[in-house]
Amino acid sequence: MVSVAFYKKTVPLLLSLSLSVLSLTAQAELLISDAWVRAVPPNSSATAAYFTLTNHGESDEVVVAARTKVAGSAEMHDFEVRDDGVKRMVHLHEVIVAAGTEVRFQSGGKHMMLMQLDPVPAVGDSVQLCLMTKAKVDVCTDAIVRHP
Amino acid sequence: MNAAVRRIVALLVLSLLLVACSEPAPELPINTRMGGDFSMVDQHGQPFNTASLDGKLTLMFFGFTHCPDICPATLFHTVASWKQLSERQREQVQLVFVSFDPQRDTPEHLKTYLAFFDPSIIGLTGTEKQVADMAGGYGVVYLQEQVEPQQEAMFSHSDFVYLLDQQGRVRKLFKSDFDQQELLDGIRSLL
Repeated sequence: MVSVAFYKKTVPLLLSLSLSVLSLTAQAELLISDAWVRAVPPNSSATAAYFTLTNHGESDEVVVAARTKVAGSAEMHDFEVRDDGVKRMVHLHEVIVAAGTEVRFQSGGKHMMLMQLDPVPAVGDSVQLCLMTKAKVDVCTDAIVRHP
Repeated sequence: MNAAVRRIVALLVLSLLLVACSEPAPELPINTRMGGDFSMVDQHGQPFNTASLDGKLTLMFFGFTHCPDICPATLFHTVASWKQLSERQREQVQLVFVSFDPQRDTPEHLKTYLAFFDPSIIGLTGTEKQVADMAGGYGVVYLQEQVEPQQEAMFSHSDFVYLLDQQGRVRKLFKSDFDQQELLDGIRSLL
């Protein structure tokens, strides 16, 4: 009985660990670091997330979509500045992270825009952010909600 | 040169440096092309017009509360800078946020939104025309963007922070990612 119980507990655990390792191997090329979400008022409908995307692989990675459970919609955006100084947000349909390089998402530049917030995350909350690559690989991270 | 002479020379150089450092900052010019009369409503539903600005310095920013990045970032940066002033100085500087999205930014909505940054911020809204007139006076450009039907309206906009003197005259414009010390120097030069 002890032996059966041991196997019942150990085999799923080992399987789970193996799958995790396989998953990590598939995603290890592209990593998200220093992720955070801007704290906004409780009646806000939108906020932004910032992070650094690093491609440790030997081939370029292309990020094509973003998602998070706290927002009905998430997109990658950047700003372009017109001649008259007006800043215009531009929807990025893909972001290329060249092999061995990093791309920073930061305030005033590229950012992950979180729209239709529900619920509006509060300071100190942890929010999972996921990016999807053209190769249909999900890269996720937990981001803290904070002030700059 | 013996030690005593070297000390005297060093003291003289130090004195000259101190005098140079204590030179008052050059007076900020008055921008006569911006400003003008306006009539708006604050977050408490009370009328707020040009005369309401009189008596205090004003840090003014135009934006909209559904803005995901620049507006909350600028509000936070401005409030954080304002908090660097002494309590006595803070009492002489008012913070004003003007919405160019009056359909969604009602007084009630502005009240909750701005209290998150600091309850003392004055939030202004009004009719489309009132907002357009005021924004036009300060050279603010805002354009509603075409978005997908399921998405919320977004604006492209200029993003300056305006420093107004005690008579409501524009004295300096700062970029939204302004240098905090430069802003504080500008404020203190007018106090």
